[in-house]
Amino acid sequence: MVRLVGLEDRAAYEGASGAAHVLAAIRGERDAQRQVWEDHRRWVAAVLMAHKPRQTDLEDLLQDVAMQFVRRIHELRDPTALRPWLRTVAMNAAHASGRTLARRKRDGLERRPAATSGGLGASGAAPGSPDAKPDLLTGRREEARRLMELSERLPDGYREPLLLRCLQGLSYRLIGEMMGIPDTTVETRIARGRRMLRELAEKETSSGAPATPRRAGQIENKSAGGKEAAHTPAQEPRTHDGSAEQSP
Amino acid sequence: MTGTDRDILISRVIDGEASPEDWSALKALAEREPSVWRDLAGLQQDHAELSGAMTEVVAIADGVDAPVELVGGIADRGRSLRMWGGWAAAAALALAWIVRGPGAAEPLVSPASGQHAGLGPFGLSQNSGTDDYFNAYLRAGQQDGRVLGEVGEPVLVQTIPHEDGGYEVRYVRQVMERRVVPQLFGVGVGYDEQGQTKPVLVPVKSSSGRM
Repeated sequence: MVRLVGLEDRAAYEGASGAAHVLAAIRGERDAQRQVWEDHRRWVAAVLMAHKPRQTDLEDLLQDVAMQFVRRIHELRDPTALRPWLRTVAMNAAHASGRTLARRKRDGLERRPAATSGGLGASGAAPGSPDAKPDLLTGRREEARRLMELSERLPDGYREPLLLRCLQGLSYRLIGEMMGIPDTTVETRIARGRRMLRELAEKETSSGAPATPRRAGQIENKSAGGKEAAHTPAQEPRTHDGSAEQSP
Repeated sequence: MTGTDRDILISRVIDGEASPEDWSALKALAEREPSVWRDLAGLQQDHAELSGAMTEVVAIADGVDAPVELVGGIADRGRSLRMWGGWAAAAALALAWIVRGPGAAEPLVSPASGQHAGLGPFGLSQNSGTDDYFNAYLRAGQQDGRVLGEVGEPVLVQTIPHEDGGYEVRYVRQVMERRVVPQLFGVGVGYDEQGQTKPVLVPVKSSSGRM
């Protein structure tokens, strides 16, 4: 069953998993660990969506992160650093997945991506087969699928805040806290990300061919004197190719 | 107003973050550039579509729980093994003292030491694998009465995901052995000349009792 995420969920992101809860999770209390994970798993999934290779199954990756969360939460020294720590765990998992895919590709062992993954991930099962997971975007408008795929072409540092904001429960401040950037930068990236996505969509529609993504340095420079200047996307970890990894 | 300022203004409206001042600025802008409304509508629609796609992501996320039982169980089992591992080491020490005694000259006889020309231990070929040796040990032990058999199912200790797929599974296999000894000892705590604690052997009074 699909649950719609709305502004009413903001409290779940903003207020849940207070320091006491996180401390209990760090101490190894299972109920607290369970609760903290439930409070944060949605945005973790959005981070994975922003950084994972398209062929990687989101659910598999999320289970991997959940496992690492439980195994390594005791390593967290500062409960207030939970979000950045968890984001780094998620990004490392996504990058590791990218490296594995790259190695498989190099060794000629690459799995064929599911034809209807829609960017959410490969189920590995043939559509229509008993083992096939339901196509998660079936029944949704084609435009949603197209936009999600187009968002993969956004420069590094733009897709993640854009997808996180689509959860609607996440404020600019929380997104900035997770990504380690000021909330004004988050706001600017979301605004520019939306603009670039619209331009990509229009370009593709008008040409009938896939639009060529513009690199971060080729972004239409509308930001002269804008808030983005001090925080260029080049400062963001590289994504999709797994070439950079952070230590939590 | 720069292009980015315009985009930020529109973005705030989309996100429901626009202040009264932002709305005033947007209306003033729209009076000069009516296309801003079309722009707003297009970006708003994109946002709605992407948000719709993200509800699917949320649905997946809500189905993934923290594996606290699995990981906790493994950790607890690991702690338990470590705790009993200490006793097992002490018990092995005691057993060695009982069987060999201090100053015993001859080494312990192991079935593995009985090698034949061209064959490995237990008469297996050099190409034999770990399982072959383990099974041969069980057979040899059962023949000489030392081994009663493997006990229960292997105990899972840890599972480690592999980058290339699959899992490394770590487990304990338990074998029950038996041995006839003249005297039973337990392990107690004593002190050496420096006052440091050390394990000492304590005779068990009842020879008919079970440890």
